[in-house]
Amino acid sequence: MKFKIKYADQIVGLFIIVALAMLAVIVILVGVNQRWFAKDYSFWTVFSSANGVSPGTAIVMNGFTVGKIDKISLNDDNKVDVYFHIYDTYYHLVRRYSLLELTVSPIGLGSSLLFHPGTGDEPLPEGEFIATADSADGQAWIEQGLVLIPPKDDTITRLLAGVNPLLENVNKTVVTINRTLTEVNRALAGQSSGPAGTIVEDLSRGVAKIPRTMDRVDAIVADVQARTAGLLDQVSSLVLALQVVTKDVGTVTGNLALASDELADPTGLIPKLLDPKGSLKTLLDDDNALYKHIISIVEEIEAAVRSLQGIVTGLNGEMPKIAAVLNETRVAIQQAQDVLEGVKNNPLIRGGITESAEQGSLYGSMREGSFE
Amino acid sequence: MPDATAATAAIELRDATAVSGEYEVFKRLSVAFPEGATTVILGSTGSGKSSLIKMAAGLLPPAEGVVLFRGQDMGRFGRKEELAFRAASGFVFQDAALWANTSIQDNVAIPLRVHQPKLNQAELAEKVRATLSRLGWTEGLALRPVDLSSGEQKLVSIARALVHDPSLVFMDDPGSSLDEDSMDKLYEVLSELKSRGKTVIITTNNSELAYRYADCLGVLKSGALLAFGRYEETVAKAESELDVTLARLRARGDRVGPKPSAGQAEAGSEMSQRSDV
Amino acid sequence: MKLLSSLGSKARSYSSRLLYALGFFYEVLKETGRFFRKSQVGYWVLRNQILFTGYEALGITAIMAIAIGAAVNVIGSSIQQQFGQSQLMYSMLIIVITRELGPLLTAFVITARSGTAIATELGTMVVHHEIEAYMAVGLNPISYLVVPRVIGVTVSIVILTVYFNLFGLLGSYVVAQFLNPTPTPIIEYMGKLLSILTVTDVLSGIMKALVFGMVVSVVSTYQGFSVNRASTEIPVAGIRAVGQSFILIIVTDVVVTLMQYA
Repeated sequence: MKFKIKYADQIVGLFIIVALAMLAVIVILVGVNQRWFAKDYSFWTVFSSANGVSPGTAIVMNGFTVGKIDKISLNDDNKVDVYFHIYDTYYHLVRRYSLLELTVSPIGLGSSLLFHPGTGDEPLPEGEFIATADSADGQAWIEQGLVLIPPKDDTITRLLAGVNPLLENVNKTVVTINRTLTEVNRALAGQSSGPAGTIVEDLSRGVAKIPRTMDRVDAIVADVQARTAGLLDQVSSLVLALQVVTKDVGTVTGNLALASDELADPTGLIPKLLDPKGSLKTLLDDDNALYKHIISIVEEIEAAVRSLQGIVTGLNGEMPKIAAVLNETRVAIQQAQDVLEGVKNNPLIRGGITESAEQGSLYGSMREGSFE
Repeated sequence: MPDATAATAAIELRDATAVSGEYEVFKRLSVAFPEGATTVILGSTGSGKSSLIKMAAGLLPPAEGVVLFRGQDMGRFGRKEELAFRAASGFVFQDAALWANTSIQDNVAIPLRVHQPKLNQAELAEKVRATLSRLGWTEGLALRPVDLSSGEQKLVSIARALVHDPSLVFMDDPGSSLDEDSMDKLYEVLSELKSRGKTVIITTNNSELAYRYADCLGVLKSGALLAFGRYEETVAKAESELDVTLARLRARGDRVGPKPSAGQAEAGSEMSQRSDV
Repeated sequence: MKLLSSLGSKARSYSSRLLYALGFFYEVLKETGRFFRKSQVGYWVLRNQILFTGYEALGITAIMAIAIGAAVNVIGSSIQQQFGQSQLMYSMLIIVITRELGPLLTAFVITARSGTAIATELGTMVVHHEIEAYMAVGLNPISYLVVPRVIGVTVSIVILTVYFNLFGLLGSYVVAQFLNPTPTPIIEYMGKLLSILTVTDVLSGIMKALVFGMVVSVVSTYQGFSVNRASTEIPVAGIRAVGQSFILIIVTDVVVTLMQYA
């Protein structure tokens, strides 16, 4: 069988040239599409972890790719320096307060790096640092509304955005509680030199001192009681004297009223009064004995009232302090009771300190209440 | 070894052994083919003629021993020496060995393209045509070997071996597959080669060729060179194994045709001193 | 003892074959380097090789590429829509077609077509003494026969891989338009594809094609020359050429992929 191939050279040449041409076209189109010759603006940021962040990861804003990550590296603080570029068409969005946010797909299909433009006036110069959304600055800017963050696209992401901080806080709390309990345990075991250990030590010393303190408190309370009793006796005797004086004053007032009646009656009282043998002359002619007696009574009343005033003032002055002392003593005793109970009921074994009902103060004054 | 012998040997095998797979064709064979002479090796089928001539042509490396081309070890040839040797030699294969995917024209032209690359297309074509026409082949140059009979293929093969005018020609049973007319063409070619003093080495089982053209004659049997030397001297030797082979030649008596030159005759006699007989 | 000696002789023959194969490969590389520096009678062989291996395989390559691209698109779309990740379709297409299946399937096609052809052709030439004839006229069979085939097959596979990528990516689009209720405009499709396609993807596919081309051609020529004298060895050489080529293509695919992704 013969076979001849005409134009073999041309066919082979065309075959090769068309392929090379298409390759060149593809390379050019790729270059155009991937903006090889466009100007990109480089920036950098810091992430705590490189998970979800790798060279070539797209930076997305509102569904548009606005840039890409160029390089990542671990810095001296064990954080990840991320260098990225933003395309020139979106450079005007890179302003002060711009943020980067890393979101992870809930179904494990990768992560995306979101860009949130800031509300600053001028674009950031190339090479500047851009904060992340979970940094302190980023959180602050978000709270102050300096960053334009669109609502999340899908329900799951939104839910997770709310749940995530909650979970973080819970996590932190659990960690803190754990640490605290560990520390308390160590302190109780006498192995801790930290604050809990110090507290337990102080507590044990304090507990040791409580009986003495209680004795002193008893003594103070007895003293106060005695004083107050004395004061109360004085007060009650003053009150009695006051009652007597009031009675006398009442009597005098009554007599004065009678006298004014008599005086009002011109036919009766005045002649009686002006009668040299009348009671008034007798009254006025006793060498000021009655006058002196009245003066002395008034002076006694004045003195009594003054001392009453002083006692009352003193009491008033002392009352808050006494009340405060009593209150503090009461609170201290209660706290000591709580601590003892708490120590007795170790949470790891039994379950915490039982709630005690708060008892209000007996000697309440305006100062103790709130001004609502 | 006499210096004169080494100087006039175009090709020399020294203690050469040829193996084909695990089969030893011949062992420790030494022979020197004189320069400018036509040497014919007679041998029956399976005697090792093809292996001997291929080894002499550098196509079959010896398992042992050396093959010398004008005193140089062919086993140590670099690319340049190899190419120089090929430019100076031509080989006619027993089964023509034309390139199946190439036209007759190209089959014959390829040696010219290799050894005379400066020829332009027209000169090339002319040389090819001239060579083929010497062998009676004037048309059908575009045909492929598969279109030719085995005799025609052999003629083309001979043309291919001679197109670049080599000084050394190897022919492995050139007369096989040729009809009488083609044989006549072959005889003409051999006469011309002989008259121009070319070194021709022929292996054949055809005593006619030996009779007509051999300056040196060798007899190969079962891998052993039973006789080698000048034609007349070798034919005159009456060894028992050679009787059947040489009886025919003896019967033909003195040869009619161009006698070997004096130099070739001396070389032939010196060769006979070195044969393993 | 017999077992030991047979094991030993097998090991020796295997290692000598391996050494020979490595030597052959080295010679091929050496002559390939020289090929373009001298005036070439091998040019015709090269041209014919590209014609047969490359141009004539274009049809089957195109059909295969379109089919594969369409299949990847259809299957991938249905899965990815469930995750709302239809954007990954383009990445998948590029990785599957450009980086992996393009060069691999092209190499398989070329092995099946040209690998057998080269091995059987060279085997036949050995049996008919044509190789000796080349040697007799001063042509190094490796530089005249093997190197043009190596270059031709390698160039053909590389060019066909480019066509495969093109037909695969475009074919995927064409078929998807028929199946998709809301067809995508081609500009949008090409735009998204080109925004994800990188030169690395294209070059990695081409590099693989280069390696595969070398593998197929060297193995096929080696097997072709391994024929000794009997014509019954010729089909055996063809079968061996294909089998060894497939295995080596897959192994080199893994190696090159590991190197690229390391």
